[in-house]
Amino acid sequence: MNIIVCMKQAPDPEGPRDSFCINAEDMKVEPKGIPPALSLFDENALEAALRIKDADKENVKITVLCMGKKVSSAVLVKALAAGADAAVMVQGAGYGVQDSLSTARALAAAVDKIGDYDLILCGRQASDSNAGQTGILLANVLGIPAVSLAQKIVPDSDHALIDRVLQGGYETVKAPLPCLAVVGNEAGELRYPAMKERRLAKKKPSSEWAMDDLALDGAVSQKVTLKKLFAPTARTRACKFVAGDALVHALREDQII
Amino acid sequence: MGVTLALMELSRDKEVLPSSLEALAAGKVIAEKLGLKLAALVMGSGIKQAAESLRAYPADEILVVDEPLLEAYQPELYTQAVEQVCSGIKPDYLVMGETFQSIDLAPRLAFALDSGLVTGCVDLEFDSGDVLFVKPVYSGNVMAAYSVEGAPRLATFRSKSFEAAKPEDGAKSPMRSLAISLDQSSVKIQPVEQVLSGNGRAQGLENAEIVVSGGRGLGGPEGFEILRELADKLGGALGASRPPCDLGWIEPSAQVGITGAIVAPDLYVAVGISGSTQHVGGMEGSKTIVAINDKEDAPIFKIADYGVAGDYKEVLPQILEGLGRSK
Repeated sequence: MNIIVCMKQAPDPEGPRDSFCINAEDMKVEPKGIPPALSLFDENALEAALRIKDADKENVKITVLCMGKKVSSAVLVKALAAGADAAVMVQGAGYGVQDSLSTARALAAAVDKIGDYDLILCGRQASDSNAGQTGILLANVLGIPAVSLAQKIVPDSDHALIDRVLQGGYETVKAPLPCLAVVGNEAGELRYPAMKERRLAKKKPSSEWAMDDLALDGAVSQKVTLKKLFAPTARTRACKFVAGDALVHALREDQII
Repeated sequence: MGVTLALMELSRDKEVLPSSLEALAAGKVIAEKLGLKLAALVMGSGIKQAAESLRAYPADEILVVDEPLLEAYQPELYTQAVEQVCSGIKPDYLVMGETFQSIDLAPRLAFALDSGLVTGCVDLEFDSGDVLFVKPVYSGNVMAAYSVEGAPRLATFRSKSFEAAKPEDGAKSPMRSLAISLDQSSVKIQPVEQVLSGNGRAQGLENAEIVVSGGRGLGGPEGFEILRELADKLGGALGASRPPCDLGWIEPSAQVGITGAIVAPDLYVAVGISGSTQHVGGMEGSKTIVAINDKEDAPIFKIADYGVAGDYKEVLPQILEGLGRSK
């Protein structure tokens, strides 16, 4: 069973707000002082793939696919150390400002170039654009079924049983392989690799492609265009510090409770 | 005259979701600004009552697709249904509330309709006849405004971004049934079973007037026991930031944050929560925020109205005792 996990590199969203510098002129966000990281939900997608591999170590092969203007090798090593078998990075100047659909088309071309796959996993949304569309669009471009908000995936030879999060619970659906699952944080946090795994990771196969290596027909019209970036209204409040045994009194006096 | 279409989603007991009424309100803003008609589309099986209830809301028309195959949400059939409605109605805009269903459905519709989509919008701006859809990016650290191409242009709206449309006295919007024909042979995703509680409306969390949430600082699942006691005493709902949910200390549905429940109660009590942007994005609209954290420099205090810098294990018993005392 071949699993492709699509992973995006993005600045760590937990960084302090002032580290996200807005370049309004070039319509870019320039992170200052925070390292690139794997997009959070993509880590959950990788963990979901690793759990499938845990159940059938010999026969499951996980390839991580990472696409962007410049992909940091530290980021890929993290994915390989956690247990992925191979990595493919696609980078280059051709990766311009894109919307979800053109990203999905480029990913589909990379997936085709990788070749054989049974399952594609994506994170629920990227921690930079927070759009949450690319996974389903990728499945549509490839013409395979997609199941979103997956928290558990159990594949057999020709189908996958996927638990999908719903309001107040989940539903299990059955999808024929190959299929794509969009994974949320319910799938679990990415495991922490041992030192030995980190060393081994650098020896695992990793390919580097340029955008030009992909069979992409150039004329993809952009459907969503970024027009403006701005800082959110700061909602700081004046915090009144009180002692633990004085809080209830203070809240009552101010008629909060 | 063009049309803005708002897709209404129903709870499992077939009532229109509040988030859909918020999307209807957003749709009304677009329609009024651009001089378009506003239509609400409701789909499902045996939905006469829900459709009837919508007539009291400010819309030019209520469109109804009552079809047995749409009893439960099935992605491929729902996509087909909306696609067919759009090919007849030709809306300029199609808006939805952001829910588990629309997270799945909206990108499928964008692809099927060859249209652009902006998800999780919180605001609208108008720029010489063009609508800009505003949403938080980088987990709420930056705001972005997008223009969209396509017919229709698609957007989903994050919960509580717009005040829900209200029924109007004596209003009786015209209602029209639409016939569609669904092709079941395209269905690849088969339902196996559902494990659900409740009616599919937002958890108690989103409607609660008081929410008490715990974070990683609680140190383990046992921390939630005393937190639950506090929530019960205040008559509030119990929530959590993301780490306790990921660590299995509490059920995932308790998560408050950008990817969990978005809440705006009268009182929000954050215990052992550092205040990541991910979490803050889901609760900063709360009227009063109380933070309890042993780290005095925790970012949560920057957005709190009241702070207690101390170990929750000492502070919570003091609060419970204080609540027990008469006023």
